[in-house]
Amino acid sequence: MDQPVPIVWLGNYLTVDDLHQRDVVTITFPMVEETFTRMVGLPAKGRQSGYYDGATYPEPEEYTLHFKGNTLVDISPRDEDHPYPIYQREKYRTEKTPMKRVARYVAPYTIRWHGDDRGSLRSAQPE
Amino acid sequence: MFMIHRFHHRVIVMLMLGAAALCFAFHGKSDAADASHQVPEGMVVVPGGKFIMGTSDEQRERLASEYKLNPDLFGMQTYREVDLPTFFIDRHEVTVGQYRAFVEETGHRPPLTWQLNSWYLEERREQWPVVGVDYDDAAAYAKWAGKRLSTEEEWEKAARGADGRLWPWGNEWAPDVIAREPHQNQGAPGPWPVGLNHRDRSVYGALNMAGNVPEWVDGKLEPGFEYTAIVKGGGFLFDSPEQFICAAGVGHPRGNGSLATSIMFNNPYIGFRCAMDVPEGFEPDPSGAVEPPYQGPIDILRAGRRAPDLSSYRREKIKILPVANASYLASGNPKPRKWPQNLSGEGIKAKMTPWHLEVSVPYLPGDQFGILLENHWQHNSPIEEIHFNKDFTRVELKTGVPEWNLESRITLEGGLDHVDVTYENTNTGDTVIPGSQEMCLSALGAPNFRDHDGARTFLSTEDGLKSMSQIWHYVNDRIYCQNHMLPSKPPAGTEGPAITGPLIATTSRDGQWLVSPLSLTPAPNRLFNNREYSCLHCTPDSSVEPGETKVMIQRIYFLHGTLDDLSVRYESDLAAIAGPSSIGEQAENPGIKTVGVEGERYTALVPDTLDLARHAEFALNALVLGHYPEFDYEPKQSNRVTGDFFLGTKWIESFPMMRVMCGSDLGLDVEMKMMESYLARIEADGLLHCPPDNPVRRGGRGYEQAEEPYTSPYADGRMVLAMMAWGQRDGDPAWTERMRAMAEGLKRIPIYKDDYAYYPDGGVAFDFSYLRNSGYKNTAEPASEHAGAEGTVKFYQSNQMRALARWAALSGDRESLQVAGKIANYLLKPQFWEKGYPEEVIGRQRGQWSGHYHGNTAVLMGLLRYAIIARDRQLMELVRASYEYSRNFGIARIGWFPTHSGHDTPPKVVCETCRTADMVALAVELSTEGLGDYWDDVDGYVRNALVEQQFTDMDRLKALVAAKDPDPSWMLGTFGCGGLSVMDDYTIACCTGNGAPAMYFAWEGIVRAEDGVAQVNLLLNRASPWLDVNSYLPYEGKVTLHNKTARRVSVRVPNWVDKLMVECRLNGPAGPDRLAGQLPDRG
Repeated sequence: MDQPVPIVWLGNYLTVDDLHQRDVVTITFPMVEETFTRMVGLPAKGRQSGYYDGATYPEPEEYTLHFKGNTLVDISPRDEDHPYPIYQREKYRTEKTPMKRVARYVAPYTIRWHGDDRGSLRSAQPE
Repeated sequence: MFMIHRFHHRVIVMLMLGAAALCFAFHGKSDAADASHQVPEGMVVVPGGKFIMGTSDEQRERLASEYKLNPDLFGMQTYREVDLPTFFIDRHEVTVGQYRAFVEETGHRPPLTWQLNSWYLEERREQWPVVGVDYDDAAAYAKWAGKRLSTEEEWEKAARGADGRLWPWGNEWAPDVIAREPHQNQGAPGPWPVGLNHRDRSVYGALNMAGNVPEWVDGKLEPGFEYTAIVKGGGFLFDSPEQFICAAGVGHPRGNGSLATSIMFNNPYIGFRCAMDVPEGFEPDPSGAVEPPYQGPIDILRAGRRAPDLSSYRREKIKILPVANASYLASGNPKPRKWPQNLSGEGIKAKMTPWHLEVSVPYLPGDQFGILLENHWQHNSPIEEIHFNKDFTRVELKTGVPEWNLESRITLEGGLDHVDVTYENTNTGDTVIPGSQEMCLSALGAPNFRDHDGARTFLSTEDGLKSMSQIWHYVNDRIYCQNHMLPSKPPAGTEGPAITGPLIATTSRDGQWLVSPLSLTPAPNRLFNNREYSCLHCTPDSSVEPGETKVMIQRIYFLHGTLDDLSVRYESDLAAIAGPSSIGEQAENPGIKTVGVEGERYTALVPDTLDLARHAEFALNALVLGHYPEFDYEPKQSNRVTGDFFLGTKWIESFPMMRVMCGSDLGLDVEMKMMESYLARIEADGLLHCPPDNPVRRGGRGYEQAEEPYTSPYADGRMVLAMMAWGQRDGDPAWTERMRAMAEGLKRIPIYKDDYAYYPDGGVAFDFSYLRNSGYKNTAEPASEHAGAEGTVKFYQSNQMRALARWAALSGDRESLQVAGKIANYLLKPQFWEKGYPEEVIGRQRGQWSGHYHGNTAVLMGLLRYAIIARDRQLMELVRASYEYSRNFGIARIGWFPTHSGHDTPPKVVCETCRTADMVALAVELSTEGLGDYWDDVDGYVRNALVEQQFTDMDRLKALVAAKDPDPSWMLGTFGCGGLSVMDDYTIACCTGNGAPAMYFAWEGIVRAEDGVAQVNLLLNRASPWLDVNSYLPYEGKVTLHNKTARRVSVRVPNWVDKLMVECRLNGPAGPDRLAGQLPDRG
């Protein structure tokens, strides 16, 4: 049965309790779009510095970046003739999410890489 | 016998010298005018009669139980009743002042110790006990003084009275009685003035019979042992209760329980006191008050034994020092450190104690070990030349035994935790030399290790390592030397395991350290221990055929660790010694498990948004195709090999991570072969070596061409991390041993200084490489971050720190964590950080850096991992601050960070993916550890630079690299360098090896669960055992969670979202993903 869930916030986390198998939690919020500019290039101060060779230091250039949420959906200026442009994300400009059928996979284990590692590899533990 | 005329003579001499209280004339006690009760000045009377000697069974059980001691310690202290006549004994030990009078009058040789630098041995300490005298010195003094040495029985009775008490003051251990204050010599141990401690006082008034210094007694042993005499009493270097009991026996095999030592040994810890027969007609004071009770203050000087210093472990090389000839020093000649480095011929004889060298171990400051080159000593061989290097870490000798036609070149070289003794013995005659070398390592001057009872000395047996006290002929009244030809079987009728070798070792009193002289080549055929000297021998077959030159290498270990650690280390070193000649000889490789890709699979209709599992499939394509199997699986970099054989370690680490993400079995066989190829290059020293003749190695980078295999410690660290991933996947315990071997290798090769350690830029082959046979050509400490061909020192330390810290957490190996900590200490030096911006900020404390972005962020990963495992909150905070500082460069919102950055560094307008990858890892780990909430950073890095800089579009890729590579299919899935809006036309193996794990780090962080509580940190697609996350971002502000096993879920909502506008519904309106069967049919 469809029911709104009272939201309990713990910092940036909202919490939903008393879940059962096959329950579906749907969280929605308005998207936020932002545009800002950044200067990218060589600051005058460091032009004579540099202890590595081979680098090229173009003049600073102003870029405009357009975001939806945390996703950069467009950037300018662009090198229109470049064979491998990136952030070509016009598709994200719509508000209709395309769906696709995929094969999903759930491994029986994960590879622990953070924390203090204790217990992550049974065979390494001292007797 | 009693020579009254000599006493008068003594009085005259002493008066002339003005030495107070040194006369030996009788004096009457103030209330005892009767001459028959007179006791010589400075002596006490011990009345005749029976007393109890040795320790009873009850006492042994009590001592063993109360103080957790090995009962064998007391096994030799025969409990018996002894009847003695009345005698006098010195109230305290003979003093320096008394002994000086003797030396000056007779010309007898002064104690060797007066020539040494130790403060307590100096001759001006008149009231201190004289030490550094051997048995004959003591006996000569006694004779000069008109006295004699006490017998062992007399000494023990004088100490414990007639009632068999354990200590002079009674039957209860009283450590405060013999406690010592740190002395004025920077805490060094030493005795105290003889009359000072009146709490260590026997019933007869004799002082310091438990503590201060052990004492010679007239205890020369019977024929066969005539060069050995008894020493009684405890001393300032002792601290265990049993060492101070009056029976004072720790296993001397003679049967009386006393400590016996060579009469020729002028030990700086042994003194003596004298005894005297009573004159005819002497009657003890009938009142029994033979000594007035002490009335003065108790002012005990305390100086504890100097314990091993773990903080300086493996920081600097062990020194080998000459031992000066006593008569040479007595003549006022320069001390050894002032000698020229080269000595030859007569110069050696005049200065040195032949064949005797001292080992000075920096982290064992209270212990002095001796090396005796036995064969040459016994044959009084001429030393032709001896050369000490400038810092006394290497000694070269040229010698021989002429009557054997033996010529020897002997080299001793100190390492960080060992000394290597190498013999080159040549037989110039025509008959076989049956045994051409014998080395004795003595711990007699090493109070933390001295083991006269053998309880802490272990030998390998067929049943494993056994203490001497557990070995079959340990208890033997006659044999204090145990000599085992290998294998050595127990005598007929005796139970016990065979002694098999090859290990012999003595552990320290605290059980934390060990010393062990082992034979690396050839294998030992004899183990020997002489408890008298606490010495160990591990002798190989040193026979030399006519015309043969035989090379023998022995390694003396001074280790912090257990006997198991020693075994592992020895095996590793043995293999390293055996296998340096060919790249083809590797460490044992038991093979790796072939794994499949098991797991749950189902189809689902999901939002067509960023799916990191799909990017993992791309990455697998690159990992499988992007290397040269014919060239040791070296990763490709653009259309050429990288030359960095070691980059493959990152790829190997990535394989299992990518498969966990996507479940693909693409190229499983290739993955296995690649790992096998790398494992095959891990040699017996535990390190991954690159052959110098690898035809595809790039070389150059300004480094000299290597002529031998070499390793990159940085890559070794990454290989350990890769093994951790593989071990978690297949659970094969073989990974543990592989990692252990590599960790040992990584611990062995840093340069240790003070409280830090570093891997230097060796100067040959490649950045920061270590040559397998020659080690580092250059060990200089880089003066700044900008060293090495790549201009980053920190980078080349980072993986080692991560690996050692993680290995420490996995295995419990404290030493690995300590080494990681020392590397961290090095990396926190000011020269590696900026001064600080703004000026009032101290850059080092805020982690402000300049230069190679990846070098600095990679090291932050290492520092963070170490800090987490070591619980170093301050360091965690530094990493957090440095992470935030690092965000200032480039455009953090999208994870685009210039290759080089910093306040004074021009940003190259390209972002190699390594930078983004490091920042992903840091942001996830900082957030996971509660050091900040950087999940939005992760989201931005991953959604943008990380995935955009992975080549996933074949058409565009072909267009990009058409001029260089007609078939770039292998590049699909690799990571490269991004300008802000375009990709550079090459791919970097390093970026692929870091970009792929970074995707995993983020993917793993999307959702986690514990005890039924799931936590969603990132609104990105992911299937998991607990719930599946379907993200509609960035099309819509929507995410659906499809529960499987969670009973509760916490979902992090991004910072850019207006929290007041968030809505949450449970089992809401059926969306397309729900209708289409999101959940698998579990039947």
